[in-house]
Amino acid sequence: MKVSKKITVSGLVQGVGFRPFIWRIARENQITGWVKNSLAGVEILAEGKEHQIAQFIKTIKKDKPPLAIIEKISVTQAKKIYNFETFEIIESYRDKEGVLIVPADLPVCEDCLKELYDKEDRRFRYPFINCTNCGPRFTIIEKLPYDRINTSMQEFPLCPECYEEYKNPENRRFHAEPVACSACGPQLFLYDTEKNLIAQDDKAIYRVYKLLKEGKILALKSLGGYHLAVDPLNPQAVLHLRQRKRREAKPFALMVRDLVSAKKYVLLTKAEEKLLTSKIRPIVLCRRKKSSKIAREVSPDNNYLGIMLPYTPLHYLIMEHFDALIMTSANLTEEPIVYQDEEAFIKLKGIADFILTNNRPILRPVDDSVAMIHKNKPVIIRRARGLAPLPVKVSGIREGILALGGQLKNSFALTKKDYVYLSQYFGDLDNLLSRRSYLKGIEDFCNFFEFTPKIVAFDLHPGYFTSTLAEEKYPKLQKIPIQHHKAHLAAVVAEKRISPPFMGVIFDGTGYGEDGMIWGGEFFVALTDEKYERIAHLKYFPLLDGDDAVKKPWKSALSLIATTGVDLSENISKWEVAADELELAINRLSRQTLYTSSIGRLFDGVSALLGLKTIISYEGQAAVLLETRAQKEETGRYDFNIIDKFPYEIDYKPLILEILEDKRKGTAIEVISGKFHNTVVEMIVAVAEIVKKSYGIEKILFAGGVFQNRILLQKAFKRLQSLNFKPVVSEYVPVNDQGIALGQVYIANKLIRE
Amino acid sequence: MDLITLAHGAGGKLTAKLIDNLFKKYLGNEYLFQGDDGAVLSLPTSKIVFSTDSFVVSPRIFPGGDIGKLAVYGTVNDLAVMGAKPLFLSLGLILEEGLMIPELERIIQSIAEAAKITGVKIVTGDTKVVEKGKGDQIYINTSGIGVINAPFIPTGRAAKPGDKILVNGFLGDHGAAILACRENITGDFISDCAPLNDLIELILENFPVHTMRDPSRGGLAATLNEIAKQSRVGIELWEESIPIRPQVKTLCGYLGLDAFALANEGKVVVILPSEVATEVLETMKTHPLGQNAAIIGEVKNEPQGIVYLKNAFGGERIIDMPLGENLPRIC
Ligand SMILES: [Fe+3]
Ligand SMILES: [Mg+2]
Ligand SMILES: [Zn+2]
Ligand SMILES: [Zn+2]
Repeated sequence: MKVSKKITVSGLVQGVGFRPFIWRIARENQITGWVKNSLAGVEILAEGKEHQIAQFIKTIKKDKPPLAIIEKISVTQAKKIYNFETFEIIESYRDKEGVLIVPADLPVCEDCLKELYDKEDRRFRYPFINCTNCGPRFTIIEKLPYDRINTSMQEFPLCPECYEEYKNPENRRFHAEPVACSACGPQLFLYDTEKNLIAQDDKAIYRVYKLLKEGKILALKSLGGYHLAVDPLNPQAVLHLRQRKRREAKPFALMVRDLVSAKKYVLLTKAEEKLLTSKIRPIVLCRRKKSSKIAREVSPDNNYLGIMLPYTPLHYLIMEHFDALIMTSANLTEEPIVYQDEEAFIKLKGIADFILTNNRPILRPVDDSVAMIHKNKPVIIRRARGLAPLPVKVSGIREGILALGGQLKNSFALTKKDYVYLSQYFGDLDNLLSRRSYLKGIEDFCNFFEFTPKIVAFDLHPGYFTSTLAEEKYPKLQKIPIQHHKAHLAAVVAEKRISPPFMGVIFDGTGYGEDGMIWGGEFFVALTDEKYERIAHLKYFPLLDGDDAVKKPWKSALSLIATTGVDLSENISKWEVAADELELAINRLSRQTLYTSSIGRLFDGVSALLGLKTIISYEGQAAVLLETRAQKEETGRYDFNIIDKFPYEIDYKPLILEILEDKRKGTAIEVISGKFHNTVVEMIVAVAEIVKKSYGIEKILFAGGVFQNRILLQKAFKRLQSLNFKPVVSEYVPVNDQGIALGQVYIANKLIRE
Repeated sequence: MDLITLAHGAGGKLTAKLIDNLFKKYLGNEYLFQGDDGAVLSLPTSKIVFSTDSFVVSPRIFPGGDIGKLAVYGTVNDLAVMGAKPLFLSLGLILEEGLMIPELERIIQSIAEAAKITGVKIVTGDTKVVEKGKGDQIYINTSGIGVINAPFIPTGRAAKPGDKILVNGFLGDHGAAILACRENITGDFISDCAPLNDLIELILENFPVHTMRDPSRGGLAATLNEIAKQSRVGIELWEESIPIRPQVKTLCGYLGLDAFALANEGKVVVILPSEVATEVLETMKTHPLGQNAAIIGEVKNEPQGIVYLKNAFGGERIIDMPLGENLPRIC
């Protein structure tokens, strides 16, 4: 008679080949059922005749893999007989504490690459080659458990050869869910924009080489969405792409064949090489070589190039004929990356000349991650492919908190016990498609992680969509609004596990303050983990017309100059602004009720008053130009005052007056910008010294979008370290608004009413 | 000097004088002459619409209108979009000590004229005076009663997927005129302040309207957001089809404002079945207040409760309920 038993093996049984061993001996003993890793060790459900199971258990003890140590085997009766037909290994994707680990997408591995290039291999030049160690994950998994049937590979029945590999525990493709070959797997198709098929498979790739060399714009389906590829050595083609994408100056990312090719265009440090070749395969911002032949149009505003290495087999095949290709997300401005095939033909029609696609659906759009190296460590600027949805471990965090994030550069977070899952990047929530994909993303994560929100954390800003969402979608849950810059700070605290006392320096664009003003140049002191006290901020200045001031940096410049009391006319005469618009702005300055302490706007204002940029075409452009022009070696600085009240105010007036004076004298912009950067660093130092004196604090945490400025970050670190402070910045959680969801979760956890 | 004093609101001699010299003189009719604590009205039907609105506007006199006209048309328009024929209004005045009586007189004249044009009677009223510094010269409240003859009442809950959205002319003119006055901007900014009852009657008599609303405070953005929520539909607007005067666009560009969130005082949004949309448009254009009418968008199944603006390049920007304060959101 058939019996069904649950067998739990504890001890050192994970990661030592235990499950394939169990699988083998189960078959030998005619046992059906399954084996999986569990909290205790390994869990087995075995069905068979009583004597077969007894023999099976005996063999486990006797023939265990050499490295395994069995502490205990417990056997209980299973609830019922399931009548399994086979014995399977179940991938549970939970770590040893039982927490769900959904794998991020992985770049193609060395073994697979060898086969890709091996003429004798049956997967020679097959662009979807993968194995257990590599390939798509997060982008193709519909739901857990992670089984082929729950992925977008379900449409591709395995051929006998692939099936053999998939079923064989000794094969490196054993239970590689997306496994495929040219006989059974996805195929490539090259279409024109009218959806006429031009070529297929390897022929399509050869055609793509030719088209790209001709200067054509190719849309190609990558891992997490479509890319637009263009030859970056061809300025005409790059301009073409700019026009069609309606993207004036924002830099394009490049894919380079390998590190050797990379070095033709950029200077690479060891740390940058390491990050480029890591499993994340992010876009890394690297210093452009003076001799680089990459068209200036690729990144006109700065001296960096965002480069990445190929990460799919298709990329490797395409890059065979190129040192570098522009590889930018295929989308319309502000919209999320295009990832569905039908959508691609509609949306990309006016942009691409040809579309290289395939029939493996992408289920979840994920952009490329973006990072830079600071002090030999990564600083993530966009957290997406390769990182999402990996959790951040935050010991003691409660389960059930949903943090909705911010408005632009949005991401959300949810908590399981001790873990925070951070979503990928979603973009501007005022865009309909972005908002849809954000809302879908929340649903998706809730299902995926078996999560039910109990507490909702969101930004204090009454005008962010997230505030409305919190009210409307979660009317019955406890809701915790959290100040924007406190969330920025808490994100660093959470990721880097910082314990108080510490000071947080949050230099940011704009965020809604607790006093109804627009914050953005904030210093907080935390003596305990519970409370961040705002100890100092940049002195408020009028913020003209809300977001319009962000789009038109001259408005910040005007505020800054006017509030110093100098004669306006001689300082604003050369701005490219309509006379009546300018006059109108001047008239309204004194009547503004909205004030800001934003350092982001200070950077904007200085950039505009130096004539670098009066109206921007992409976020942060004015500040980027100011940074690019700064002379790093400059040691001079400008003055500022610290007004002795609580909180301290950093008075920018001397700074602005001296800049205007320098400008009048004809001092080079490079020098002025260098001195300005130094001054901002000295503002940090000045407050840090006060805080050290009063509280003995040495840990200084940095966050906020302004710290994406390398010169500022480097100089601030160097200067603070020379004074024996301990500066900290986050690594894998962005300093910009994509990081605030983590901070929201962290603070909410402290504020929860039991 | 002819100034309003606290005594004008004390209920004594001066109050009586004010009533006789201003209110009865300009607004007088059989109901008001009764002089009792309330007006006794007889109505032709039992189904009535009752609506109220308070008016605080600075400046009180602006190109295209003044607070008096606004107070009458505002309530008349609210009644009209509900499918009612406006008949009676009440008039409540809160005056600030020191208001010049000639100015008050001008406002009352303006109210009288507006009442005459729209065929409503001011049947009851009240005046209070507050100390100097406690008010902004003059606040007006009007409540109105209208009767319903139409076979159906348009409501915010009745917009259906597929319906077309029409508006009778340029949007944002009132908001722009007020802003231009306040900011001392010269240019062609004139409030659209106008009574809509006649135009609306014309539409309601001939077409099966689902939803109708006057996009006053909060502009088109607020009105359509309310409708999208009430009717549980999505609303798609076509950027290139929405009539906005170039000078209003420029002004909005200068001030970082959204023209869709600017107030209107003579505009009506009409939502009705697609089949009749062009016919309605033609009909609207025959009316002096509908010369620049346009079909500006369409009701969609989803996304529920969301209004979005589609442009020629296929971009879709969400128009949220205006916050009422221009806080920056770009970080
Ligand atoms: Fe921020
Ligand atoms: Mg009303
Ligand atoms: Zn592999
Ligand atoms: Zn196969």
